[in-house]
Amino acid sequence: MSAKGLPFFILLPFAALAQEVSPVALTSQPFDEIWRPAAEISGAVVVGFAAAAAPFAGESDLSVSAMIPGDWRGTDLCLRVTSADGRYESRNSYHVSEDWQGGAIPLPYPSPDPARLIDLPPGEVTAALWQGDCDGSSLEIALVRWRGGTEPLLMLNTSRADETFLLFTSHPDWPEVTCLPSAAAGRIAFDTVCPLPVGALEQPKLDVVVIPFRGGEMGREIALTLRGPAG
Amino acid sequence: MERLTNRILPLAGLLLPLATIGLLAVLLADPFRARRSFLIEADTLAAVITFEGGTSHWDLGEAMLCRPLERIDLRAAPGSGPCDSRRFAGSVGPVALAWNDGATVAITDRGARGLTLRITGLAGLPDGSLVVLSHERLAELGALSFAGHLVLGRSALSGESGLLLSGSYEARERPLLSSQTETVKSGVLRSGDSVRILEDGESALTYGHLTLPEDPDQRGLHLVGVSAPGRTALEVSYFGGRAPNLIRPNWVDRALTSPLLIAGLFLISAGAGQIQLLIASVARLTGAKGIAGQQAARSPARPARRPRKKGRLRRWRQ
Repeated sequence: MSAKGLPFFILLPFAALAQEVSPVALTSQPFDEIWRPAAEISGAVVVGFAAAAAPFAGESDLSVSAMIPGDWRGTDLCLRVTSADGRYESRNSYHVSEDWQGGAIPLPYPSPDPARLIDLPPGEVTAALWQGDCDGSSLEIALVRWRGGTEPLLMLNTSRADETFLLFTSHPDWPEVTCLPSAAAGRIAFDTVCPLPVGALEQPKLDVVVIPFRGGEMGREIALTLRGPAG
Repeated sequence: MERLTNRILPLAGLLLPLATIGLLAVLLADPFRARRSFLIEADTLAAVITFEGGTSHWDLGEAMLCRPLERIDLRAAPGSGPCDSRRFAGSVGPVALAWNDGATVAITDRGARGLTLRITGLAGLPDGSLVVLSHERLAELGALSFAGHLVLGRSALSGESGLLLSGSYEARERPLLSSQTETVKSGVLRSGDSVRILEDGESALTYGHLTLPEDPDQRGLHLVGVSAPGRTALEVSYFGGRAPNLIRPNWVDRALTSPLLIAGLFLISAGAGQIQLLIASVARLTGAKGIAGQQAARSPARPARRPRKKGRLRRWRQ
């Protein structure tokens, strides 16, 4: 054996071991992502719950992590990443190990073209992580950190509501959140951004209701549960 | 005299094209047309105006004013009025809006429910307040004028009810050395476009007014806006476009539409003909050689062309 080959010979089993022992493993084969020539809109109101980093402020590589609740141990998860212009979408499944205790963990995200994703401005990408397969969706979602972002944002497609509010039904004394129109250039996949108070994620489960108004009339309310890592 | 004429002739031959190019540059080049106004006229279901200067005042008379509650009350009944009681406290009365600098109104035609004016940044009124105005009331009021920054229509995404229906635009410029404006570019606005006028990349100050459309069966608002003169462009956004289209006239538009250019070119060609005649007359009188004559004198004489042999062709025909 040559001297050059020795380090690989030693490191290879460790790398394999590191992949095996990761509590959250990517199960989608191959990695499922698409860059469409034209926008496609799913029709879902809740598009993402993520903290995205500003360009150059976040981590230089395409790091994706999530706050996965402890009671999601031993189950399959789906991570959907969407760009505001509706052209990029990825849907990939992960499996959480049986001994998962809950907390933040990096997710494998082997995008074939990470540079293109890193170039997306922070307000133009969001992600949603839920328990279950990727064929459906769920209104119980956990926070995803995109490239080390710190400010949690709920991204919604309200179909051009005049104004949208977020009420904390599990904490009626908390002030309502006034959502803002998305500043993204192409507000196609999501048009509204709801900034969440940082302390909100200390709760294991946070029940919120999304209330859109259009022309003075209240639209259909959407109830959802945001999951913290302690659940 | 002959030597002098020989010098003047090539000089005149150079000066004429140079004068033509100079005139074209002055009449067509963008730096000489820096002050340009855009005029837009459209029927639209939605428009957003951000007022500038605090000179606009709308006395709406009797209208419904909906002030947002401090907190949304989901347990309250929705109510029967145009404003949902879970979010607003509504009252009917005289409404007068003195638009201060930076105040914004988003006007949307809600069909049978009338027009809603969603107001932010207006002194004395909470952000998110609504004024609900019937079409009949707006017809009685006549025109509502404004000075500010205008966005017409919203991109035609699913669920969007604030579409631009139809419209047109004109770019008007005042050429150098002229006191009259010329329409150098015009076009139509299509349903689903979202339009605003820019000046140096920022929203341009626009003066205009809104009324109901002349046709009573036509939905929406009729809106006319003219931008203040400047380095303006029209930005048109639409669903599916990667980036908004920027419309501004170029030298081809000016060449096709400028009456001053056509008149100038006519004068130049007429002048050139007169000058040529004059030069030819002077040259004949003084016995000078014209340019063609000089060239002919300089170039060696070509040998006479040999007559073509037709023998081969005749043979082939046989």
